[in-house]
Amino acid sequence: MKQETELEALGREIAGEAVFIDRVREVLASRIIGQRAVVDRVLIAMLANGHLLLEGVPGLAKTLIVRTFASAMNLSFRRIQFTPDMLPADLIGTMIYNPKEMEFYPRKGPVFANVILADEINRSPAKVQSALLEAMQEKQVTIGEETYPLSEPFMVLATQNPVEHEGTYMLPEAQLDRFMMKVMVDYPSYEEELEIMQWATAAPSQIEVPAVVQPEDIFRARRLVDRIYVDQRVQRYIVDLVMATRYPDRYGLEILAPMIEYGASPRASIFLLLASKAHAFLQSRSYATPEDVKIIAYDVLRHRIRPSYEAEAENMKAEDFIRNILEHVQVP
Amino acid sequence: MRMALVCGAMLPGMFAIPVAEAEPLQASDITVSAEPDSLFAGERLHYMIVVHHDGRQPVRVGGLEVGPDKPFELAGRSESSAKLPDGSMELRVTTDLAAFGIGRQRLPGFTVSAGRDTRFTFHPTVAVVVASMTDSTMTRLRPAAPPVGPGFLPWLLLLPAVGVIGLLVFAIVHLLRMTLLKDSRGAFFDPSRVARQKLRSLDRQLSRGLAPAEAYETLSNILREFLQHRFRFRAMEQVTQEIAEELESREVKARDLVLKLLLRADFIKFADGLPDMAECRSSLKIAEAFCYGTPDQLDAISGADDSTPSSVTQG
Repeated sequence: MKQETELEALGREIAGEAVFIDRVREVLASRIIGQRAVVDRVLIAMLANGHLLLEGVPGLAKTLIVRTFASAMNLSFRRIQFTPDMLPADLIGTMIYNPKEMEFYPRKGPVFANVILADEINRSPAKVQSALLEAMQEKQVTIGEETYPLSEPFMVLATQNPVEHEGTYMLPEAQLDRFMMKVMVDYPSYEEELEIMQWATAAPSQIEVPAVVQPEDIFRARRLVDRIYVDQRVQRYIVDLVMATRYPDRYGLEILAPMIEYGASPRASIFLLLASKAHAFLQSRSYATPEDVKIIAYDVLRHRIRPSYEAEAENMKAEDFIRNILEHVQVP
Repeated sequence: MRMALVCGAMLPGMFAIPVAEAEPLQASDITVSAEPDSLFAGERLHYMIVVHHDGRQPVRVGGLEVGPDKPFELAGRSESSAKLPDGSMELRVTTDLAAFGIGRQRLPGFTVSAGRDTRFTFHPTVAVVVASMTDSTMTRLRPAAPPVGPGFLPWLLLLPAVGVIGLLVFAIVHLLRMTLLKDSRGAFFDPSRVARQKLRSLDRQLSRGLAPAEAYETLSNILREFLQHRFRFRAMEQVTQEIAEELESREVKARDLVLKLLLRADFIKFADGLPDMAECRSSLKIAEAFCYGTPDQLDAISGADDSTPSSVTQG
């Protein structure tokens, strides 16, 4: 009974704190039509202290989502357009010489913000990508001889354009792995498109978004997310899913074995666990269930599974493997 | 045992009285013999009649007392005549008789005629013993010998062949039986019955001290297994929300009840909830009614929905 009481108490606490989630959703809904799943993933990444990779064709409100989200959270926001001639210093900053005082002083780059939108990250060479990804991992950057911590909360939302591949530098798998989730931003539905069209032509182009959340709310929510209970059964289910991407034949999926060049890394298990907890928080629940795992499994796993040449020839994608795995791994 | 019977001049008193006037031919000139002296009914008796005469008149043997109503029946006859060294003649009549009368039977009589006026009816007194082989009332001509069965060797060869054929037949029958059983198991697999058996077994385990929390986990698995087989969707690989959608699309009766049970089981499994024994037994009854109940029972339980466990506090 003790454990149940603790969880119930935590549940009440979560229910009280999670109110800001509804406020953020409301603000985002006032600016963005549809894309509810993307908004939820952004919230999950924020609560789980992770980073997001957004993929979708241009014009799907990716930038708008991130900008509105940052404003609603009262967080500083910087959009960085990645280009082929970009240098790491353009991102993290550099030492500038002051002739008046005859000394160098650091000039911080755009990475010093709470929310970074790294637009078309694959347009920059690997050196720049690495600089950003190191900042994501270490939460600090070094300019000259000085190391500066990045502001908290810190979240990177990078976008990739899936259509154009010419003149792009695809992110290496090791760097893709650092993103907690890869979210596919899809076209709006017919009704949503109609609403977008009417809204965009009738409303003023810029509407100020009120800050409905303070960074302290986010920190408190993160502490609660950390306390969310994940039973051994759910943890084993997570490991089963990840293992099934590596050894599908052990889970009765022999057909997938030649289709997967390599499966998800241990980071996938960690991020699945963290994201499941964050999803449970969004549901005002003090414990995670397999349902939480299943809902975010596609986003956590899709960029961590590399289809083989044979799979590409068959036009099979990571999503197909994940669907198969979810359908075959027994839920506890 | 078998011996030739000889009679004739040595047994003159046994001969029949001549019916004609005294002729040169006499009874002592007639000799009969039969072989064997004992036989089974239906077997052949070799019966020989020899008549000595001077050759001046033709001699004939006829009127053999055989026929369907007699102990013997004629199966074959041959006769030959030969001149002896002393100048006399010998008529030899050889017959094959089938014996039918059972017991001690006298040899059949016959008539000997010489010329136009001399005629004898001859009745031998010697008898043979006929043993019954099958049906003693049978009087018609039958095979000369009883049928002989196959020897030992053919049987010896036949036995392995029969064994191999028997094995083949057994294997085919066994395969057919297995196939039919398998088909019938598949065709008549009743998820409701299986679920009820498992639920009752779980109830017994509860009585023997199984923890209610563990019972809930098993209950959840039994329910999902039942749903998987009964409604044909992958319930074992689906979470409760997905199961809810499946049941909704199929408009399953009392689905809210089963979803409550599953949600409660989720809470117990994933949030370390601690149900008590009474709640666990109540859930078992609801689950059994859902899996095996009649529509009326389902209605009754749906009506008593409030009594179901409802401590899904965190959902």
